[in-house]
Amino acid sequence: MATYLNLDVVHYICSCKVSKPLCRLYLCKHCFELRCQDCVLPEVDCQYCPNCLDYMSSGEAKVKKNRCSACYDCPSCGHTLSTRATSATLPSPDDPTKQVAQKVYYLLCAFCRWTTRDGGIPDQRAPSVPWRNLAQGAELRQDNSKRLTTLTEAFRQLALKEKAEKERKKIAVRKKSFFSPGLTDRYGLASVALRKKSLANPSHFTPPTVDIPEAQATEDPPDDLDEAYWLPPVPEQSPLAPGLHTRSSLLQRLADPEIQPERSSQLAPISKPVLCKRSLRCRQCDHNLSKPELNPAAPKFKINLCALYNVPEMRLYSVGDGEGGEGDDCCQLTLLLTNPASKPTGVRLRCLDSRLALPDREFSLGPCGDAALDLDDPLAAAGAQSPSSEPDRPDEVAFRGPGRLGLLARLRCARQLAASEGVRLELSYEFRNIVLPSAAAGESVEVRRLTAELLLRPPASSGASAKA
Amino acid sequence: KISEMSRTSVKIAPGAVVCSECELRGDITIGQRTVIHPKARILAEAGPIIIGDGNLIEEVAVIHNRPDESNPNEKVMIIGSQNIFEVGSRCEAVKVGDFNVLEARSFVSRDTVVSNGCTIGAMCSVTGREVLPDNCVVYGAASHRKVVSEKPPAQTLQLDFLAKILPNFHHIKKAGASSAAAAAAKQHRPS
Repeated sequence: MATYLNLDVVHYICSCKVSKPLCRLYLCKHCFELRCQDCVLPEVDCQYCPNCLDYMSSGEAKVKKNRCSACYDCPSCGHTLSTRATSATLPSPDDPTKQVAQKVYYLLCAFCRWTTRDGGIPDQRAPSVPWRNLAQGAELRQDNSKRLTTLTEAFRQLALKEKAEKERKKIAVRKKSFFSPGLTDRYGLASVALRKKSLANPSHFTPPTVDIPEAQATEDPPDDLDEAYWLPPVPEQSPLAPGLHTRSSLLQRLADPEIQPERSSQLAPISKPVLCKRSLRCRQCDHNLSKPELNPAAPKFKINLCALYNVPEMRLYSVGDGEGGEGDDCCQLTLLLTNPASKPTGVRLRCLDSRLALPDREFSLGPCGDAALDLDDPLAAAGAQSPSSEPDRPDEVAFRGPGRLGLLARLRCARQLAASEGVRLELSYEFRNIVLPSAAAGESVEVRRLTAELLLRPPASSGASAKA
Repeated sequence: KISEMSRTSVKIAPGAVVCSECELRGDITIGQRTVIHPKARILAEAGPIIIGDGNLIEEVAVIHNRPDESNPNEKVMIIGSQNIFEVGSRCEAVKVGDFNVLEARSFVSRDTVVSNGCTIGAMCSVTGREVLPDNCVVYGAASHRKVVSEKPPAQTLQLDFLAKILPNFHHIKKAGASSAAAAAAKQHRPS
């Protein structure tokens, strides 16, 4: 994925000890932990066609074989086919003797210019028509499906028969002499024995009368291969050898396993496969972390617990030259902290392996950009000063903006950093958990102090090489 | 260069719509109903360029009769009719037929001969020494080839529309032959 930011510089550590950029993580607000793609269980919500955005439930998709009924892919290059109309003079449907100009439709790929005419499908009078069934060989394929259903029925009946036979064997494994009604009918068991016997011999069960013919060899021996199979040798100069373009490529052939077209005239439009909308669930607590709207045209979410919207983001803003503080292997970094919430949040950064000298107190971040515009005080809206009472010190804070804070930090042993994993930091922040309204109280906001572990890896070409 | 400018002679057939803002250098003949957008560049460096009827040459398209070191003889570049040179396309082919479409940012080299009805896809480049078959389509990042059954449709509606709209917004060069002296005088006039 291409981004403006270098996503590898600052990673957050997920609860499964894997480091990922913050945009790839979710915050479970019930476990209060970061979750990555692997800690999360995806579930399919519904299927939708990427072209017409028509969505269907999973049951419906199963019936339609996970394909859209209206959209088709080009068999030649895989892009979506679009319907084009031309006018042609055809006998009018009312009066067959008169020739009237009518609109006829065909499918065209805008990328490689394949049309249904190339596939041998005649132009149709209506724009939405089952194009795939009109391709050559469609009748053969439908014939197969009828045959398959009769065969499955027959085998199902055979399976029932075999099951009954097994039952009969179970019942019939007993010494019959004791229970034959001829010898003893003292206890009135004759009728019971008769009933069991009749059950064991299911004479009412007629075998299926489906004709499954024996395999036969064909009468006539196979013909020699059609001359067209033997292509003339390809001359070295011509990239488009004569006849080569009448063959389908391997990718084209494998894309359509039903037809497996060998010639390009056999290529038929492929029904467009559907994609699925999925919702994500935390594996530990089973709550939903991400639940999109059912309608694929609406990019909103019912539940969206992306870490980007809940956890303050730290970025490496700039790398300055060392100021000779602790020897020349030092450089000054500016770290940018962004508040995702619409209320001021307190954050505190701490370095875990003492390589980075950070200001050791809690800073207050103003509300993020959109919410800041609603504030009355224009200075507070611009975020130029600290929302808390403590003023910022210029050796700690480089700058402030709406919801943003630039912290100054000094990095020691910068040259060794390139070889190591990175600097481990701990970010502790306030998380505003909106608890659902209970019967007694209204909607309450619970403020929790959460921590996240970060891994900072400044890019190799920074300060260290500047000193060298 | 003064020598080049003095050689500029453009013959514009009646009905052709050639915007003044396009760059025309060298000996160029433009056929009827051809539309040339502003910022198109037609450079007849190594020889004259003859453009047929009903062509559509869009912005930033370059038609360049480039001098060839291996073959310094003057060669006439002939472009047929009803071709479309989309935005940013570059054509250095010496012979182009009819009903071709050079999509955006495509490139055809001097050695290639473009026949009729070909479609050179966006960003594709065709550089081999060959004659492209009729109705050939070049597409995809790897410049795949295939031959389709029919040529791309003629864009007569588009040409008519442009012929009506462009004069409302741009200065149009007048039809007829513009001689070298008049062209040189125009270049020196402060614009």
